[in-house]
Amino acid sequence: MNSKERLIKAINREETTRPPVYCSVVPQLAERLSEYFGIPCEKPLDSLLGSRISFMDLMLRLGSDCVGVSYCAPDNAPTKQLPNGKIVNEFGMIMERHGLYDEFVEFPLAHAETVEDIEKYPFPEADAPGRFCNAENTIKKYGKDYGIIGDLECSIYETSWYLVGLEKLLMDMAMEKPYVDALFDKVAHFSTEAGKRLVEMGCDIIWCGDDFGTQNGPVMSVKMFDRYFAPRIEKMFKAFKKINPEVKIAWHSCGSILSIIPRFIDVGLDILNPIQPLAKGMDPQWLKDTYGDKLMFFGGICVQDLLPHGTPEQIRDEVRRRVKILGKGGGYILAPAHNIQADTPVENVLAMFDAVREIDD
Amino acid sequence: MEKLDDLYQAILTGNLEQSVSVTKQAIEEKIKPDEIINNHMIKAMEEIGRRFEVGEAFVPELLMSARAMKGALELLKPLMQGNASLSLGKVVIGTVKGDLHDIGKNLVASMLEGCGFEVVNLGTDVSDEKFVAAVKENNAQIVCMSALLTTTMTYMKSVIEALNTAGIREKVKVMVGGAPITEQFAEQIGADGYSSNANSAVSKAKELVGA
Repeated sequence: MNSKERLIKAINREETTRPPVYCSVVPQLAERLSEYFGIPCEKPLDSLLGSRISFMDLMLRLGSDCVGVSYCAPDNAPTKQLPNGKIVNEFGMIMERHGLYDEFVEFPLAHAETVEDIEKYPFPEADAPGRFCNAENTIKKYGKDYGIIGDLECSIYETSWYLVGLEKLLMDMAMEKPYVDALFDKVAHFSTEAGKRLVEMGCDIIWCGDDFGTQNGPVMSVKMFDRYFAPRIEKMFKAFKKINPEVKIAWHSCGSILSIIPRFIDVGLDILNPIQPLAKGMDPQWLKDTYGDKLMFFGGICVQDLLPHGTPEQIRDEVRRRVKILGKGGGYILAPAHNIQADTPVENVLAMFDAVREIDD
Repeated sequence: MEKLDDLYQAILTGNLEQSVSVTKQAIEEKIKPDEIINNHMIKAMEEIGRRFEVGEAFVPELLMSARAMKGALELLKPLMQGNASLSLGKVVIGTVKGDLHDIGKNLVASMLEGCGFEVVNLGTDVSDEKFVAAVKENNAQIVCMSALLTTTMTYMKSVIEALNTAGIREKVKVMVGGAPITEQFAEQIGADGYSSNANSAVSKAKELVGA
């Protein structure tokens, strides 16, 4: 059974000896892993979702069964460095390097108050030339042998706050400022169009997402989620299924989102990601027992404590435990609960993959 | 003043305009700032904090209440100058070096301010020198540090060491928080307190200063 077949079985709820694996890492860890294998380290791809789709050869070398693809910056609007050292992308979001990360520091719609402010903003086109070149090439290269995950995270809420600023957006949502709906419609349209293209290109999974959770609970009430997001997410999911009813849809949300999970089931979600183990209540056994007949699971390996701070043996134990619980009856893609972070020892990453291989043996 | 009940409601429901107008009227009517703050503003912030902790209110509601509270407090601050009895203590707060995540830290800062502490918010990406300088300059009783990332949380220990080196560790209580932070981690690095959310941060801060 090759990796592709393993993924297809998993997402059709057929149990295999071990589940398929997907992995993503931050660039600093990619460098150390490349050094370990004695291979050159690739440059990260120019995409809002670069961390999920870069270093895929390295991930396959480690033992990943899936490859991530997504939209990239188009040919005419690559991400650029400004004379002041800051970085600006095609959306006009300005980032600055702080420590290990490029963080958003200036927001192109920080001034937004009215629908006109949104209409005036030159929103990027999903079908701009060059946007899917990397995805096309990657699918051509790996599509037959590996599972293809079309990444579409930051689907509505997150891209919107990258444009407006987080605190402003959350308060303006509470005040129901008129621009908010117009903004969410524009962002959802961009994601829907990009996602449709990824479905057409043959992705096995479309991996949408927005972080609706904090460590302790949801960012917003279910009422606010229903007001702004549930209808737009449902519409987006339907657009993807209309093109390919067989495509499976995953949703990423960091943190604890227990109260929102039933809403995701209602709008047609297939796979929940990432099951952040230390977030309140996101217990794999409980989730499998409670929602295992309605949802499949993707993730589950802790990047907040276990992978950076645990021993290889603890990691092996955890992988076996997750496979036993979440892999039962199929419907599980094993993955770290986010990009594996720079403070993680190489041997811990290897231990995660080794543990999966050992199950196979 | 009966109208002051409206201040409680305005802050609780996050209504900035109402919060400002009721406070203005109360000032005109010569109601003492401590009466306005202790009997209305703090009570409203305590209630929204409670609702946040038990999952009846969420981040947007807490941000809105904090905004309404700050609108009232801005008007009252000039009238409180020199009146140390109104403050539970001075807090210096920041997200540690290398980390730009600040929504959690800002919620803690707002809750502390809304519940009677004087808060000096140093923002994000704050170095150990900056924490030490701010503690000295403001004669702070508490320093609060936040981190979202496992790669930055270890910097909290460097800040505590810097406070030691500067000879002021014994004069200031250290509180830490943020998604990957645990009680155990707080103990390991020698912090005095840990809180998992903005509301319990206030009780912990009060406990640390004996308020």
